[in-house]
Amino acid sequence: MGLLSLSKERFRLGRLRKSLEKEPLPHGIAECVLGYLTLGDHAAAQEVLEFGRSVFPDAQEIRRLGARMSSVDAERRVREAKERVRSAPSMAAYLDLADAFRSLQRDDSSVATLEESIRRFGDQCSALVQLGAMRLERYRDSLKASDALAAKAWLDRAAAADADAVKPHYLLAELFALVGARDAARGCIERTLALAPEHDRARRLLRDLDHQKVERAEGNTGEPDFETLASRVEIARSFGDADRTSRADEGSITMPLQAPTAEVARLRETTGASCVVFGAQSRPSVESHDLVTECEDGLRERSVVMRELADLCDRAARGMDLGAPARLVVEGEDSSCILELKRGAFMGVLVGSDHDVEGSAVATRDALERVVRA
Amino acid sequence: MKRIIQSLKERVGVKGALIMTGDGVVAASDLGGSLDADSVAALASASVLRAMKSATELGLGRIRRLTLTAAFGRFVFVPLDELVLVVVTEPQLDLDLTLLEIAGPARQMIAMSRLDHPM
Repeated sequence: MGLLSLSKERFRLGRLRKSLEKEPLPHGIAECVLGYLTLGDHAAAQEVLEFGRSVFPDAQEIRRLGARMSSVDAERRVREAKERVRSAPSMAAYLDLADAFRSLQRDDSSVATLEESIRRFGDQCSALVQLGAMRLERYRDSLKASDALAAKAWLDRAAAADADAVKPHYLLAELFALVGARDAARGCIERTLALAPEHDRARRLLRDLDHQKVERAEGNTGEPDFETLASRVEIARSFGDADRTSRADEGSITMPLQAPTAEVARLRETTGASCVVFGAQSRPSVESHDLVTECEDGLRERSVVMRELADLCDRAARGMDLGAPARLVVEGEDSSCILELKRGAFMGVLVGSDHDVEGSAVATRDALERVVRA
Repeated sequence: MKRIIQSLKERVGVKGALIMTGDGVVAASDLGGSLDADSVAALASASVLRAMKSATELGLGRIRRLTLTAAFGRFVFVPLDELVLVVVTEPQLDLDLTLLEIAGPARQMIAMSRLDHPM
C-alpha cells in the first residue's frame, strides 16, 4: 500500500469512526477495528474495540474482534520474544518464544524453538518437559506409537536432567497409563508423590489405576513392554472403523466411556444451555450406551436429533475428504446447536442466540475432552 | 457472484468458495485444485438440507450459518435466501476473523439476490 493509499485509508477510517460515534453499528465497528489493524495502528483499533464493547457488550461480532485482538497481541509477543532471542540469547528467552508460539497454537514452531535451545544450551528440564508434554498431547489425539515413544524419550531425558522435578514423572505416569502400562505408571506416580505428596492429580491417577486393577484382576498375566503396548493401541486406534478392535476390547485404555452425568450437568450450568447431550455416534467406536441428557422440560426428545446431526457431521466430513469431524455449529435465529465430536463420542449443547457461541463451544470441547480422557 | 467468490478467495486462510442453489446446482465456484465443485455441492446440499430439518426439530429458527470443522479443513455454509454460500478454510484459521470476513460478501449476496427477485 503506497503512502497516498495509506493516508486515504486512515482518513476513511477516521470518518467511519466519527460516524460510528453518532450511530454505532457492530459490523461498522468490526470494519473499523480490522481496518486499523491492517494499518498496524493497534492503539486505535483497541480504542474502537473498547468503544464497541461499551455499546454492544453482548454482540458476537465484538467478542470475535476481542479474540482477534488477543491473537494480534500474541503475534506481537512472538515478535518481541524473537528479538530477545536474537539480541540476548538465553534459555529463558527461548522458553518465552516457545511459549509465545504455543499461545498462537503454532506447535511446530514451538517445538523447533525448544529443540534449538537444547542444542545450544544443553539438556534443560523445562524445555524437555515442554517437548514431552506437547508430544504427549499429540499422542492423546493420534494414538500413534511413534508419538508415544517420542514423548517417553523427551520425558525420560527431562527426568534425567533434573531428578527433583515432579512434572516429568507425572507426565510419564499419564503416558504409561494411556498405553496401558499400569505397573510402570504406578512406579512413576510413586516417584511423583515422593517428590510432591500433595500432588492431587497423581493421587487421582493412582486411584483410577487401582480401580482398573480390581476390574481386570482376573486373566492378567504380566505386562508387555512399552513399545508393544503403544503399537497395540495404534492398531486399535481407528475408532470409526467397526471392523477393528476397539481400545476397550484391547484392554489397554479404559473403555467404554463412563456415563458422564455429572459432567453433562456441569456443562449445562456453566454454558446456560437449555439442553446438553452426550452420547456415542450411531456407528460407535466407543461401546454404545444410552444418551446422557440434561435438558429443560420438553427438550429431552431433541437429544435424538442431536445424535442424528452428529452422524450427519461425520458423513459429511468424511465424504468431503476432510478427515475426522471435530465440531459442527448450527447457528439459528432463535438459538444455536453446538456439537463437539471426538473418537466416536459427541457432546451437544443448545444455547440461546444471545449466548456466546464460541465460548460455549470451547466449554463443550473441554467437557468432551475430559470425558474421553477420563 | 464471481467477483464475490474471488474476493473471498483472496482472504487469508480461505482455500475456496462456491455459491450453489439449495438443491445443489453450482452457480459459481473457485475451490482450487483439490476439491471438485459438483461433488462438494452435492454433499453440501444434502447436509445443509438435513441440518435445516434438524434445526427446525431443535427449534433453532432460521439457520444463519453452519460451520463444520474437521481434521483437514473447515466448511462454512451461509444460507442466503435461495442460495447457499460455501466457504472452505484452513482448519486452524482464526474462525472469528473468517466469519467477520465472510459476513460482508454474504450481505452483498443477499442484497444482489433481492435485486434479482424484487418483492
